Amino acid sequence: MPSLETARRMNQIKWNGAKTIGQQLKEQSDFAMEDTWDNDIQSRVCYLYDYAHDDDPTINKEMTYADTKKFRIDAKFIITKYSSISSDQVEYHLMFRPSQPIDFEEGEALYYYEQEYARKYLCEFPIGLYCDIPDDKGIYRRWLVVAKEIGNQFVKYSVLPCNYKLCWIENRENKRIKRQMWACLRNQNSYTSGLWSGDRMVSLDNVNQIWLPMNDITERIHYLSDDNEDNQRLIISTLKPNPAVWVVSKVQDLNPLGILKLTYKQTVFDEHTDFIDWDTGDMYADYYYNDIEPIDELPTEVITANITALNNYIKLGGSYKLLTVSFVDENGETVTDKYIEDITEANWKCFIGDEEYTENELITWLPQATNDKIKIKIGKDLSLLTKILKVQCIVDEIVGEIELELRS
Amino acid sequence: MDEEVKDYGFSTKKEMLASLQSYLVNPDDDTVRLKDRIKDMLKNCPKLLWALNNSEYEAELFDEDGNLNVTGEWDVYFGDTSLIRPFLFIPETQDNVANYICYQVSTDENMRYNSTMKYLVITFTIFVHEKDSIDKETGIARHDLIGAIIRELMAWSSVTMGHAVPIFESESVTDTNYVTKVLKYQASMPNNLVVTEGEPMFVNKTKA
Repeated sequence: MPSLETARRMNQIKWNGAKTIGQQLKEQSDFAMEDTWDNDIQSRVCYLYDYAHDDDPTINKEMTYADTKKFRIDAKFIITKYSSISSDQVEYHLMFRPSQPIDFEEGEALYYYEQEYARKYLCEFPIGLYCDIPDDKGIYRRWLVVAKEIGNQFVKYSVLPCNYKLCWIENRENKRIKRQMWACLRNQNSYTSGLWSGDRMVSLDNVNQIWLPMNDITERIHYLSDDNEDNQRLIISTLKPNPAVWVVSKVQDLNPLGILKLTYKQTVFDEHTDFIDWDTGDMYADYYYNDIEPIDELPTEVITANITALNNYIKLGGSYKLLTVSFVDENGETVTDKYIEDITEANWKCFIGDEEYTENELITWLPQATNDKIKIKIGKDLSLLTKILKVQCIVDEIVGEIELELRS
Repeated sequence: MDEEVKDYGFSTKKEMLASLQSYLVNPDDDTVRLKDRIKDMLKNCPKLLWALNNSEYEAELFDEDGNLNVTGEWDVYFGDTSLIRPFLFIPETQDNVANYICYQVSTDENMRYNSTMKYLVITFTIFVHEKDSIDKETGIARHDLIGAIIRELMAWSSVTMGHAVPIFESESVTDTNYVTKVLKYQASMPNNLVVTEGEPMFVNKTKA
């Protein structure tokens, strides 16, 4: 039993925030680390960012920072292990200054991580962010932060080199959008093809994976079911006439949190639907999946209008097709109610090629009970087969548009 | 020596396409024309479309108050990847429940002692997913329900030139977990005697 004096001291220690000797040594180590930071050849000036703050989204090396949206950060690049040609790319470590905050308040440069990543994808800063790290020649290269290495002394983060720019076509609300994101190719030897199957033998093969940062673009890459033709197809290959094409067979987003892991199995290149841009090196699977050409990005005006329908085609001589226009503000909030009173049948127009068909005898418009909806049908003129009917709704110079393939 | 100029009946792609598209309406080819008529018959039958039980499309058939949506997009049920298809295909095992109707038009026999007439057979093949095999709102097995609606449509219909009479009805299963029913209707029709060159005409001699 401690003496009264010792008991009092213990009680004070409990409430005065006193630290253990170990904690004090750790604090002193932090000070020493800060003081000697720049003397270490591992210390580098790095840049952290997500895809939305990427100044050079098309390259993965030789980035410059004269006018950048990226966050400048001091870090040590630590070699933890060495690669072997027979195994996968090893990870390296990144360590920040002990004084570097890892939680952010509103108004701080990295607050977007709290808002758009930590809350949504349950991840911890800076997992899922890109980091530009200068190599031994001082040339900046793009890396992806993929994991946190908890340590007693200094917390470190695992990084992998971004070695492949993945291009794919995203289908979103009747729009087909070209997407690109830098990713890390991963390979694990002698597992299955990535598909589990209970009714037949599956031979051993390598598992190919690609790791992407989780964000509001990559989160839409999906997997439906075995052999479903709507599973996401991807070209992951060198630039060549018959590139390797793959179909996503598994999507994982929990281990580690903040990273999207895609497992894929091989399929065949389809010269009728897949597209290689020989000038840029971009390769898209299912680019010509239907006659609606993919667009570069969704419009970024403050208020955008969007027309949706059950699908992307209309049948010549077929039934009415319901079109619905919606308006969205810069925050993604629906503001259709502000405009709904202004919409009349006169706001709707349609075109085939450059020719306006709004008043054409083949077109029949049918107004609906609410102004944001209208029905359209088109007569059976088979000479229009395979052409594109472009329908617009224009309100206060805001243009909503949908393209419909004409089918029989 | 002058090169012989062949007459192909068209000189542009547009003219050729117009000639091909006319197969849908001219009486020359029974298969193409009848399949187009069967398509119109099936996709304009809300009973049949409802019996296919696709929740995604049901708003096209009935509005929220249960009124028939006569301006709904009913033709969404038809197409090469949709629920009604003008050819036979065997749906693979899949998790999402979907029911299909496939139809074929074929001939495998001429009328005895009369080669100018043939027996044309229209075959409907109904695939019902095993998880949706009994319709909850009528209590009838779904493949029987769809079969009964097709029978109602085909009975005394003028979809063929002659009256199509039922000659076959049988049910079975596939090894991909579908209950199936096959219905066949037979009609006696002229055996490819019509050629349309400007106007349809009967021919009974070899063409030049």
